[in-house]
Amino acid sequence: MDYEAQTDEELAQLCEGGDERAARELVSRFERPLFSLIRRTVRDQELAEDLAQEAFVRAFNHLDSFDPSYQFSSWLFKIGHNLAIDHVRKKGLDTVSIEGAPDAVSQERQEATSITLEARGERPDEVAEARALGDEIEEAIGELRPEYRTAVMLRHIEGHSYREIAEIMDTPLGTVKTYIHRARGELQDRLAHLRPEGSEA
Amino acid sequence: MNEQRTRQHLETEELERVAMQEGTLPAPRREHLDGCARCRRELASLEELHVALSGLPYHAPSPGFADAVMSRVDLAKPWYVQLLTRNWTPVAGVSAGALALAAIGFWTWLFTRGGVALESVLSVAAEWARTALWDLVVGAGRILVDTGIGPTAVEAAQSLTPGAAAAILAVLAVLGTLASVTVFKLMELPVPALGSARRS
Repeated sequence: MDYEAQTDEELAQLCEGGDERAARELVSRFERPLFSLIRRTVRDQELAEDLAQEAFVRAFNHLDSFDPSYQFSSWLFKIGHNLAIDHVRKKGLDTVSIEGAPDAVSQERQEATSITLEARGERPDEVAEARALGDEIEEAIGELRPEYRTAVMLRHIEGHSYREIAEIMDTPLGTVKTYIHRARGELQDRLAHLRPEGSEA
Repeated sequence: MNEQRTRQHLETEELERVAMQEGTLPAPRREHLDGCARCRRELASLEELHVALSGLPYHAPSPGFADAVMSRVDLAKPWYVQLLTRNWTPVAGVSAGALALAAIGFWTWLFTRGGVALESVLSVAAEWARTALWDLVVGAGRILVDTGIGPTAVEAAQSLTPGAAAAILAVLAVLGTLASVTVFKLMELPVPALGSARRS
């Protein structure tokens, strides 16, 4: 059987029948996108690897609850997002620093619950790595609230629709639109200095 | 109406559709975009951001990531899949060896006794097989007659209306098809030797 020719959902069904090669193919397809999403959310390489691994294990061990009419990628990202955001929330509670309540849709509520995590607590080698890459965009993304980060990455990097993002994040469609709109605004402000002189955009 | 649509600035969703190349704008909206500096500026800004974000490389987990995942995965296999996909080679090898040893031992014992001709052994064996097969057929027929299953089934079949007979035949055909499909599906299952890890 040509596993590479199978759709994600067909592979998921093969996995449910105990097919290990199908599972390997799914890991091969999604390890980088899922890992990147989680890494950019938690901003820690080792932790992101543990969480991404856990997301795959949970997905494969609970395939009986997967609805084949749903996109496998959305289901996997949903598991990964939940794990990552749970961690961020716990970390926030432990250190009394949370980047705004996840359900904060009004300006007042957002401001009342918002404390910027920024790069605090990151090891110097991680900071050096970010600098070495010269990746100001990554830094700008890292400064967003975790929910904004996930939403904007799912939209612009993974190309998911708003509806799919709402399902993945288990968040109302309107809230997702707000997240993405605000995330884009913040990113455009933070990256404004990269624009060429004289550019109006 | 069209004129009003042409005057309105583009919504975020419309700008996004163009910036992310997810579709095209209707003619009046396109016309507005072409003539509106503000909308063009917003589109350029959105396109710029989309290009920057979508161009970000994926982060890679460590090389042993896939193996680490697979070592923790417990893919549920139905009993018949486990039975069909397990490696039967050692069992088959041991069984064949034991059978061969038993056959050689029996043969040696038989011919070392003397006075035993190969033809007579084969003739007796053939007679045993014939008798066993005949006993099986007769025994099955006797069970059908003695228990009344046979006559009842014949009576039932004779009393069937053509519609009922057709329905039963249809059910049997469906069951037969399902059985065939199941067998073919099982034949598609991966052979254990091929199921080894393919590194991502």
